[in-house]
This record gives sequence, C-alpha cells and structure tokens, in this order.
Amino acid sequence: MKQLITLKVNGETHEVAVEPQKTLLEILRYELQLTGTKEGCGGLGQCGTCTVIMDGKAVNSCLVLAMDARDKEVLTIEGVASPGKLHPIQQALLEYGAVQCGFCGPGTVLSAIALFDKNPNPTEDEIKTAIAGNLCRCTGYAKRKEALMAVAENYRERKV
Amino acid sequence: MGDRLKKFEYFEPKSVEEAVSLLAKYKGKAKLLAGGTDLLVLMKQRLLIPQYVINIKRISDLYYINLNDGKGLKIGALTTLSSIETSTVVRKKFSILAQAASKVASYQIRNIGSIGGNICQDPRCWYYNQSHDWHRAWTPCYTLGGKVCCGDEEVKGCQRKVLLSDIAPALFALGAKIKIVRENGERIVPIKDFYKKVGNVLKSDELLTEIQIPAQPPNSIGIYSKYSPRKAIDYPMVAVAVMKKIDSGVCTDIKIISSAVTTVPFEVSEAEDLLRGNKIDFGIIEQVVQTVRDKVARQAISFGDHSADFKTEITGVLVKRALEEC
Repeated sequence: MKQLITLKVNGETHEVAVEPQKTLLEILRYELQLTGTKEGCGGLGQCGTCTVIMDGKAVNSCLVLAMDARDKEVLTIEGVASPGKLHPIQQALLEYGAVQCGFCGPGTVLSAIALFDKNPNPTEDEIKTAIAGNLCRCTGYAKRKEALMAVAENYRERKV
Repeated sequence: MGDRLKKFEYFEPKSVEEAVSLLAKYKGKAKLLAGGTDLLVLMKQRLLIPQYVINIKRISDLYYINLNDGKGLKIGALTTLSSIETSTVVRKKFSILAQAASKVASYQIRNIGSIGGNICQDPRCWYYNQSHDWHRAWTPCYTLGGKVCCGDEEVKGCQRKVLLSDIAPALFALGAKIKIVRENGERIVPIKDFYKKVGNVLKSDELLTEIQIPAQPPNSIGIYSKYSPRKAIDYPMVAVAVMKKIDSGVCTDIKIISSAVTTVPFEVSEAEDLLRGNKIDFGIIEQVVQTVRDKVARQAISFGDHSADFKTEITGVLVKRALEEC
C-alpha cells in the first residue's frame, strides 16, 4: 500500500506516494527523475555509484528504504553545483582528468563532499578511506586522489 | 523497471516492546530490518522473501555507547558502525572494536550498518550468495530447499556457510555478552555461545538489543587484522583478533581468535596456553603460529577461490604480526 511521505531533496520538499519496498534510489531516479544518481551493481551496496548524502553522511541510496529518508535532508549530485559554477570538488576532478566514462563520478563527488564538509583538511589516508566505497572501473584511483589532495592543499593555502 | 525488492507488509515500531510483540505475532514470517545492508541485499537476490518486514530503525532507545566506570561498555544494537569507529571511548578503551568497525565494507555502509546487524548477519558461502538468475541455473542447496551443499551431494545439510562478520571476532576477544529480548523476558548470552555451527541462536520472536563488553584490564592491547582480496567493500577472507596483556615484558593474559576460516570464529586456547606466563619472543611466536595453523588447517573451509590451505597460511601470518606488534 502506498503511503504519502515528505522527502527533502537538494533543499526542495517533495510529497511522494511510495510503497514500503521502494529504495531511496528508486524514488530519486524514477519518481523525482533525478537520474544523476546511478545504479551500478544492482542495488547490492558493492559499487557506491548510488551514493547520496543523507543528513550529512554519505550512504548507498540502494540500501536505504525511501521510508527511512523521511524527514532527512538528502543531497544528490543535482544539488551540488550552483548555477554556472561547479563545486570545487567537481572542478578539481575535472582539472585532474579524474573522470573518464563518468559513471562513478556522482557517487565519488558526494563521498568527497561528505568528507570535506566535516574535515576540510583531510590527510591522504582520510581521502582514500572516504572514497574507498566508490568503485571506478576505467580511470583508476590515482587521479581522483590527487585531485582531492589538491582541494585540501587549496584549503590550507587559503587558511595561511 | 521492476521492483528491486518484492512487496512486503511493513511495520515501524517505536519501542522494543512494540517490536517484540510484532515478532511474536508474525513468528517466523517476519524479518527485522536494522541498518539493512545485509537484509536488503539478501532480499534483492531473492534469497529471502519475507512476508513482513519490521523496521526497527525508529526505536530511538537502541542507539547508545555507554561507559559504566569499571563495569565496561554497553552498546545499543542499532548504533552504527561509523559511530563505533569514531567514538573516543571505544577507540581509547576498546580499540580492537574500533579497528574492526573501521574495516567493515565501505564508509557508506558503515554509516548505515548497525553493530547488532553486523553480528546477526547471515553467514555466507560462494554457492548460496549469488543472484536469482545464477541460482536458476544451478541445483538449489539446502538453505534454498534443495539437497546439495555448495553443489556437493555428499555433504548432508548446510555445512559451509561462513560467518564473515568483522565485529564478531573482536567481541570474542573482548569477552562480550549479548542481550536478547522477547515478549515476556530476556536473556544474556556470551558471544561464544551466540553462534551455532551455522547461524546464531536468536529465535524468530527474539530481538538483540544490547552488546555488553566487560572492562578490560590495564596494559591490554587488542589487534584486529583482516585479510581480504580487496581493501574496501570486501568481507574478510580470514581475520584474526588478538587481545594480549603484557606486564613487565611477560604475557599475563592472551586471547587469540581465528575468524572466517570455518563457519564461526573460535578461540585457539592451545596457542594461548603456550604464551600465558611467558615472554613473547621469536621462538615462542614460531610455536604459537604452528599451533594456530594446525588447528585452523583441521577446520578451514574453502570459499570460492580461497582455498583452505591459503586461509591457514594467511591466518598464521596475521597471528605472527599481531604478536610481534606492540
């Protein structure tokens, strides 16, 4: 039986009728048409392409029931850039050529944002841990890591 | 596109009482949903198709990490693995648990996965944990109502599902107890009695509510080490949990837990006896490692590409490193 719930996604409030077996990923993609959030491994929590930020924490939206996203703030890739201007993390990934096919991009960006929002000056290990849950099958991980280290470096410079 | 999850009837109890009364009412037909990182995957693969799902996430009483001075730690079953990993108290006084929590899967999964769910996770095997389509092409195993175990007709009953929890071996090493609640009562079970040969002792009307960890003696050091083919989003191929207490160079107490080699974690008491009361030096480490390997070799189960021999070898290496480390 469908139930009317309120979802707050990228600052907008949506009233959606959902069945309890629907995951947040399914609702984002097929009800709200926010298809920037990807499904890679078939909803098994193995790849991280469906990563969104829920109440400040990176989560796999394929393993969260839409019912559990009620009353929480959800951020998807669509809410990351401001009009005409990429988020600094997106900009860095772009500059370092850290995205080839792009499929893992949205999830990676959100995992990185969840890290930098809490810890704007992370160490190399903290960066690796934060994005270890986002599989990349073409570009590899070195450029990604370098891009994020540059973001941290940039933060340190601005502080000085 | 079709639903990833089959339809079910859904409940959201707000209290432990409400949850256990629902469990009693739908005995055997309901599944508890905590973090969901294990259950939802099994349901998507059609390995479980529960008629009722009881989502306990809204029971706010089950999220806590409480230190009772001198009496140890109490952790609510729904506490997420990331809160355990980052808790100052856990990191300082029960470091082995923080280490284990930090090695589970990925950041995203630790943010939703709960400690209770981690230790109640379904044991896994390479034959059973496959997609629905994979299973359609193969003979069903005992768990799926068939008559083979891992494709083997000689083996009677489900014998080879391995508990791949990272948290369980750390709790074995810490001597933890599990609090279990049902409609008209509760019981406390030491973690080593919590597991059966395959699976755990939870009955279908019971709810795990708390993990209790006794205070650890001063000068004790805990080390959890895990070997997995991938560094992230992977289960342990083998894992070792060691708690050692060193007083003026002498090992006064020791626990060595071997995990993921057979269906459940186990303590290698023969190796512990060798160490207790002695200085940990090169010679004794060699003996201990040999003892551990002998015991592991007798029980190790091959798991897909991971042969029993390889598991034995790696367990020996992990024990050696844990003993050398200070």
